[in-house]
Amino acid sequence: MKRWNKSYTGFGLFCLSFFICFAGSAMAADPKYPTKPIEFIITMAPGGTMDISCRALCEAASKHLQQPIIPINKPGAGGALGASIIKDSKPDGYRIGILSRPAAFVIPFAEKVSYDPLTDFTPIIYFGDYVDILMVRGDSPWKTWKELIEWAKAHPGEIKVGMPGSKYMQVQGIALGQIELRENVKFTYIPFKGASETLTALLGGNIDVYSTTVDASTVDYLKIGKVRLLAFSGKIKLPGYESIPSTDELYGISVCNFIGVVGPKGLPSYVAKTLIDAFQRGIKDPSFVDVMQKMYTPIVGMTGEEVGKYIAKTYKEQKEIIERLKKEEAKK
Amino acid sequence: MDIFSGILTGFSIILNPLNLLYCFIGVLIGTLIGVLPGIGPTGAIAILLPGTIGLGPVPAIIMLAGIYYGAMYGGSTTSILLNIPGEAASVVTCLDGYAMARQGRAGPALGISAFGSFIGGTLSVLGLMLAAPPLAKLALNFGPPEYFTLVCLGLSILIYLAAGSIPKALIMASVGITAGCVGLDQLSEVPRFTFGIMEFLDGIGVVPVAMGLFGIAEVLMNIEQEVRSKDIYRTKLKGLLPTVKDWVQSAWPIVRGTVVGFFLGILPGGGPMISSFVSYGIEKRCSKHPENFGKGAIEGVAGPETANNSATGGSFIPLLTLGIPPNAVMAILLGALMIHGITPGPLLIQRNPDIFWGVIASMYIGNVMLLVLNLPLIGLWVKVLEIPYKILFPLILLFCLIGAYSLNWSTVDVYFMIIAGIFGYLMRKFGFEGAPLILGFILGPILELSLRQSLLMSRGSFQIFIKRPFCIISIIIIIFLIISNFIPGLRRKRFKLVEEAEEIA
Repeated sequence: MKRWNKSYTGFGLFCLSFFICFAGSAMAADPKYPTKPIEFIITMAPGGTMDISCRALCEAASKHLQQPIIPINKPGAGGALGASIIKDSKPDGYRIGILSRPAAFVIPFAEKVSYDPLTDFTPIIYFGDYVDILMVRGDSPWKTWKELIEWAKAHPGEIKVGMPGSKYMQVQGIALGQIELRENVKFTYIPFKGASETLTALLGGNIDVYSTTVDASTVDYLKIGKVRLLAFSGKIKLPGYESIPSTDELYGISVCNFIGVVGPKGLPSYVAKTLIDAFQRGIKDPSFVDVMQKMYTPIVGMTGEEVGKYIAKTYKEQKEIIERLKKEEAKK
Repeated sequence: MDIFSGILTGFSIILNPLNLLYCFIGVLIGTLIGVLPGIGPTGAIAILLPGTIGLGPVPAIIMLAGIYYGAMYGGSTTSILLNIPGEAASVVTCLDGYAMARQGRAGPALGISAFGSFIGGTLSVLGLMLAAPPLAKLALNFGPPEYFTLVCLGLSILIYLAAGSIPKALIMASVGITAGCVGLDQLSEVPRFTFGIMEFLDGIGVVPVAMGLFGIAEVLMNIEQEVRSKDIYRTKLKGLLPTVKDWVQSAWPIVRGTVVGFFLGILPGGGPMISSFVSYGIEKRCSKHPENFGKGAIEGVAGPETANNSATGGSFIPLLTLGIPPNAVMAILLGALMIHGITPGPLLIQRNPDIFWGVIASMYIGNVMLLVLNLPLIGLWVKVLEIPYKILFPLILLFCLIGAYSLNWSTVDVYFMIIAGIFGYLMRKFGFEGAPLILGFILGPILELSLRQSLLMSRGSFQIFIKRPFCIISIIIIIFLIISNFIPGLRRKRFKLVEEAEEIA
């Protein structure tokens, strides 16, 4: 031990301090996130139900992050444009957005899209559901859904159904197509550019049935009797209108539902966790709950992997339904 | 609540200093947004919307509405000074407004534009106040067949948009209609002319194309001229305000512009853009000297500028009485109302009279504020023309590039603008005009969609166009317009138009 001298001690101390440093940082392995504002892509035009609920969500979730979430509208192709923008973004957590239900479950079967709803996204949260309805004018002769179907059977092709978009690109169109087959009736579908054009057409007598989602002014129209609710086309009913049947009750057919936030695939788990946490707390925020209530959009709270499974399941279901629908319609 | 007590309520709301402040902020932002090419009221309102959540619904809506009609005042500035349409509704102002500027008459052009906007804006609020509910019913009765015949009428006015050769104008309109087809087919949602590129799926934006075709092309033409000859010839400035003669010439155009703008603003899908085109066409048709149009006829500025402001008042009608937004800006305002807990719809006037009457009163005051804001600014704007062109044109290009990007935060719009600019330059060199192209571009898709919707409604029968009153009237007007071109008395005027144009060309 005569060889033990200062250099060994120095080296030993150096190694010791080296390891102490690492020991400390081993505790904080994940980098800080977020360090700058997060972009949130809203894939529909400003002013609609999705837009307003997303803006409220971004506000509410930002409170639980050190950085704001900035909503940006990128409408187009029913949400497919926004979806492909999200898919192509860097998976660093600074750009996330909405995967709309048509973009996830209908459009991929109608035409070529640049994304795969099953593999190109990291699901974050499924936060809301739409209330889907089928309504007619208050002064029209059909008081119930059954009456409408009876009339449609006697007058094939005369019932004009209006939607913002075409039949095979809209979730409601798929459901109505199935009902047509089941009841052996034929509707005429008239696409419109947007919800307000379709509502105008209904009120002006240019279409007979409007297949849409509920919002506050729809409820006003219901209250004053200018429109009549014939059926709910999804599984969810509007409070106060429970006596109106849903197509799920009548036929087991319903419009698939989903308002969800995703990021590009490959989001690091600490990023996903932080986002999920912020959004989960955001949906409990009273101002968000208030907005969703005003929009008649029930809140859902599914997060993370569960959402991924839901998307996969619904995608598979819709694929079968649409393929069957196309085959049956081709036969006719 | 009857009108008298309603308007008193409205004024008591707006005369609150806080609401006055927000009204002023709104119209100021609106004017700036309108002046800057590219970002329009839609984008600005969408961005400012979250900021208004803290305010009550009344100040929020007052401010956002102020941005909307304020932008219609400011939009004409760059159109007149630099031939750059600030937004789609200012395209038509470029035609005669810029010509007036080149003759040294930028001041009167800006002046009559401000006054016309004021008159159109104020009178349309009057209409909104007095007759909103029955007019709303009018909007409802407008279905696809009515749209189709209206658009046909609009396209027949196209002939009057062309200052020069008619065949060339028709070619341009065809190019416009074809370009309008790019994107998803509106009925079957099949992609057309998209070449597999995702960004084409949504079609080509009209604002980037307008900015390119008029603004960028103008810059390119001017650069060429500067390169060839030493300096761009700038006429000396002749006065800052419209003369008595200008007023006399503009009086009827302003009246007609108000009416046209108001009614077209009520219709969903109508709005300021279409109103300005239709007003231009009407003015040219009604003018005793149609050959002056395109060369600095003040009627060509007065009419459209009045119409696009009048359309803003009209567009509030379906929103406030039916909860149906007739255009994109109104759709965002609808969202804004909903966020604040107000449900726009048939019950709005009864349930929230403060919103309805407050907005109306604020629009009166806002229009006055805008006039006061814009008139003195004319002197400032006109100075822009005195900047040496070699400093000005890079700035113009910069603003256009930023403006095109700011529309949708997308570089694709910038590319479209640049391509449109190069195309516009080549177009000018060969004597083609941009206005018919823009008209075809806007109206083509509406024409196709409404025709197909109408035929779906009628299960394939064309009789639907004869069974509806508005359609029959429109068809008769169209036939009259076509035939009148062949009647000797009126024929001379037409040929005179074309002759004069060939002389100059």
